[in-house]
Amino acid sequence: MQHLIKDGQIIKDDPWQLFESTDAQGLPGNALLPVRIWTDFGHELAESSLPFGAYVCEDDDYTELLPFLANLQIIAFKFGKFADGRLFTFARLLRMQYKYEGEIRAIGDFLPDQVNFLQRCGFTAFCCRTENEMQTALSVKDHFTEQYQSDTRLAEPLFRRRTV
Amino acid sequence: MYVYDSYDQQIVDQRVAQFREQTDRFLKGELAAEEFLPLRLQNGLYIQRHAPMLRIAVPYGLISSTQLRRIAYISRKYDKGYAHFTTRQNIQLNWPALEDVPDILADLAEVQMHAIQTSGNCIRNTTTDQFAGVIADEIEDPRPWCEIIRQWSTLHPEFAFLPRKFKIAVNAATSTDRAAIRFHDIGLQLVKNETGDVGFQVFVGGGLGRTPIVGQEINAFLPQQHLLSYLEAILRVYNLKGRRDNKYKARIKILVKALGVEAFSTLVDEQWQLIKDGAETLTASEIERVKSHFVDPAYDQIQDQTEALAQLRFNHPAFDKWIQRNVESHKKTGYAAVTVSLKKPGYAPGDATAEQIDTLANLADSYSFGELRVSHQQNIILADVKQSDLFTLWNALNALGLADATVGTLNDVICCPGGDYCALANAKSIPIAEAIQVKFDDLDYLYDLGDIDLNISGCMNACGHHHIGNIGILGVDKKGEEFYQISLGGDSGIEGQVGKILGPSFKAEQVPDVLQKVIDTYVEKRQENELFIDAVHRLGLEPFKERVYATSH
Repeated sequence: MQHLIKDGQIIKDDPWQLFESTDAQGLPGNALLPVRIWTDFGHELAESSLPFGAYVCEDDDYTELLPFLANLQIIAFKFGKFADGRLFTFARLLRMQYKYEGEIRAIGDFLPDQVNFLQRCGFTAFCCRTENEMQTALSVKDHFTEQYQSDTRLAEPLFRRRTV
Repeated sequence: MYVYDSYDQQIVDQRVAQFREQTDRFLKGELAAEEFLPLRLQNGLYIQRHAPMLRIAVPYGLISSTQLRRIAYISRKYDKGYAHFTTRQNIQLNWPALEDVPDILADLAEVQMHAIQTSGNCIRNTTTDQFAGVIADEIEDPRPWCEIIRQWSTLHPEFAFLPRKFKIAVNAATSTDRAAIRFHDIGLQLVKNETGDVGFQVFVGGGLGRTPIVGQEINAFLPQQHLLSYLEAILRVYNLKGRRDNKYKARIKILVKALGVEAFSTLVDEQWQLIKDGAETLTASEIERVKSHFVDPAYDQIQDQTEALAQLRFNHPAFDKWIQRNVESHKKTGYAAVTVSLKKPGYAPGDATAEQIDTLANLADSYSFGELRVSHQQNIILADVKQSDLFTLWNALNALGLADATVGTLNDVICCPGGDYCALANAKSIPIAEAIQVKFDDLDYLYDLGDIDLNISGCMNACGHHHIGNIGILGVDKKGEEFYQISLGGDSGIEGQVGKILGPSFKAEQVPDVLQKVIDTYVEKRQENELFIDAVHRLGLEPFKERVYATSH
């Protein structure tokens, strides 16, 4: 994937690709597969020697992936519309409730201005739409150096950290 | 009131810098209009009919004289020298230039103010009773809880792109509800349980707009330390399940109605169990820290001035009326809470000029410990006035044209900016309010009619809260012509009721006469000391319909 930021760094040679498919035959490694494929063929995929990931859209049921979290190096959330905030909660629950520790990548129609909040909800990689947006994302992603709430990166809300 | 420390200041300052950078990118053409839209809305900036509109947050309606003076300064420097106080206790500027908004925000940040989340599909300003902390009848001061919610909801990373806007209100009074909590997405009522612990009765799914619904209880007693985790659980369920396919069905009220309150609260409980007792559990020291900002001011130990006031009231009938209508009793002997009416006929309800705003700030310094409140009825409150200062204050307000003794009367209209300013409106609302105020300008007549809430909205979005006015007026568009639908019997208080539509709508010029017929019907049929709202509920709509729609012979 292009225009990728991962753990704060620009990644030029990322091997992962979205892959549309309806069956589990002949899949290339480093394919990000739809939730549907994991639902239907998850156990086969988990036993494969090739690395596979998943991608999730807003209307998908990401909990279908739960049996395979240990096999998934990467889960990508594909934004259909940047103003749809469900993926923020999906990612947060994946980290908080289901203790997923692999990569969570934002792809699709999100804005560089959302990267700060996305990071705080558990996203660690961002596949931006353009080179420009990637540069903007890099420059604004850590804009806020203080925050009130706890989140996936900071275990304690400000009121537990505040020194008077 | 709450005073920022370096953490709070840093967050607001960084928000200003962030918005400046975003505005720059938009002006340079690097950010598309539809992408800038949610970013500017999250900072209170609308593009309106004539110019942008900037909505400035007044957290739970509380503002200092220093902050208010800054509003006057900004309205002179960047706008047309006046500001508008809203039904959600905020302040709006109707004419700022987009390029100036980052500077306006920087000016606001210097006095610990901001425009964060005053619009957009996020958690908005938390509102409460305008008399919070000064009335005898409350469980405890609700303002520390509003501030705790403000901090938690400010720049919350997960809830910035909700299906729709989200409004929380808190009430602490036991016999009344001036915050209309049952018409909010979440309504919190402070309550005490059998063992004397303070917690919250939680209502969810109330709202106005196209589908007015009274909120339903989902928790009879939420222990106070769990407030934030419980709010988080509700928001999480809403963010996941709320409808996003139709903006008119996207509010949480529609979700609660569709699932049923039982099923909804089961979902909330499931989410809550995951985070209950987690990091967001409030600590006693945090609750104390915030409460320490809302301790009583240095009240003098003085007696009530009943006799001295009685003499002044006898000598000055206008002062007497003002005391009756605009002055509220206070928990502290010798003090009173004063409502300054911003409902002058000829001016938009809730509007004040920069000069009036400056003078109000000075009066707050002289007579009310330098603090003011904005009420949901779009008036200004001086909450801690010595009774011995009331007459001097009344004279000073009179000189400003702000001593109209009309609070709570038919003339104290709640009104949105309407078609004169707002791009969403179907019809004008301010001229309707004016025409009614002109028709009902006889003070003795108004006093005889007693308390009547008149609420006017220029469209279904219901910013003027027409559903919960005792009399509600809604502007509608019929084939390009403006018409007005009238409803009776709405009640924003503890009884929480939505008004019922009287019948077919009217043309603008008919509205004052129709209202006269409604009022005449009430006057003829009321029982002794019966309020308008009680008469409507007793009589039903029929006698009003008969009078209003009778064909003249």
